[in-house]
Amino acid sequence: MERFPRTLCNLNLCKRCTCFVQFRRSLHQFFTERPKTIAASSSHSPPLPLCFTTCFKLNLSFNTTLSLTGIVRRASHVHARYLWVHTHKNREQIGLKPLSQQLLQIKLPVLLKRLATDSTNSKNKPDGTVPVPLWARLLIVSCVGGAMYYMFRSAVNEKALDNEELRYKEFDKIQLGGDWKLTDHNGNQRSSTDFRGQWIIMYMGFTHCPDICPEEMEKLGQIVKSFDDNPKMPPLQPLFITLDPERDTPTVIKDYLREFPSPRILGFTGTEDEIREVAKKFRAYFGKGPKDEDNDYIVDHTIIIYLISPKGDFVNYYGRNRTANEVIQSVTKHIEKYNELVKLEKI
Amino acid sequence: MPFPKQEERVKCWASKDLLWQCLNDNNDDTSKCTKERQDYESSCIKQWVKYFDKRRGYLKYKEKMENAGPDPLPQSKPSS
Repeated sequence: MERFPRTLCNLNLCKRCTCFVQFRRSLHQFFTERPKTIAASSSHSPPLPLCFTTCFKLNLSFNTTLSLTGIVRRASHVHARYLWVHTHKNREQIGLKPLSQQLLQIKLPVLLKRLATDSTNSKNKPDGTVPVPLWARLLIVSCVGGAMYYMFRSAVNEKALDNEELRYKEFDKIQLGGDWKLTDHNGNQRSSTDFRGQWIIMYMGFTHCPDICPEEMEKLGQIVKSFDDNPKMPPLQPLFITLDPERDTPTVIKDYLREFPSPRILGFTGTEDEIREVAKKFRAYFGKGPKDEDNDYIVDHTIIIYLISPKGDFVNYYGRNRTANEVIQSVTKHIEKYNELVKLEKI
Repeated sequence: MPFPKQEERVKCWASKDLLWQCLNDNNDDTSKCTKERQDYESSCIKQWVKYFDKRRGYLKYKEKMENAGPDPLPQSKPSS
């Protein structure tokens, strides 16, 4: 008995399209490799291979017009005919040629061409095309593409989240940043813990600063304003810590901050040691320059804007070369990721 | 000594810009910019004058390094 390899007929794998492709392949094999055998046994109809019927049965339910042969138009007819013929042991008695002969009469190229022809589209397509309508193809491609894009995006996002988590852990390890106690510009003792729950953006400088500090303070004001104006983002708490405690008393700082656009900037000062301690925690360098005849001096210092999370962790720092917009974008990303991490209870 | 207020700062920066512009236009000939220099020194506190003078020197130096590269090393005399 002629049988096709059973593996081809695995129903679980035999989805509509694959079945059809396999069916075409098996049909091709069947007719090219076994013509002699079939011809030899043509006196009685040989049972059609299992896969043949299985695929037909599957295709039947879709009622696809296969234009399989010149004799029959529908796959269901082939099947029906096969069943009918199969029950009549002797086809010659009813004036029919043996089924195998009948099938063999169909020229293979023609058959393949017909198989490749879609019922909804009568134009012939080049050999090897899977007869799936265009809309279905587009649907499949867009589904697969969409799924892949989604997977890619979520993988990228997950990676970014992991990196962010690692960032918090690593900064925690090297103990960058930390808590401090200083005097604010109103003369009150405040601690950094008072600002828990708020995003802090912090700058260290001094009031006699000739050019850089005012620029940076204005940048700070712009950043804060942008977040104040964005209802989707939490407001930032801007802080200014002086690195010149000798001259910058709370009143001086209060005067100084009045000149900058954001009224919410809080200034801090302290004793020389307190300031040194804070600067050390944030790895900020500062050094007093030589005094001139007016007892005036310049403080050379690290120009950095710090970003601190609502839990008081150091998150990022921005140097002088970063524009306000760059800082705003970066801070926005940090806040979004922080919220996701908090939701996932990872930090 | 109090810190320069915003208007003082703006005034100082403007006079500084004028002086620098003058110096640039006259190929750093200070004799041609004495008026600007006086204005500048009267609008800025001494420390800032010193700072901006140094800063200009630094910026000039930086520009030269970026455009022309460093001066060639002086030929060392062959040690006998």
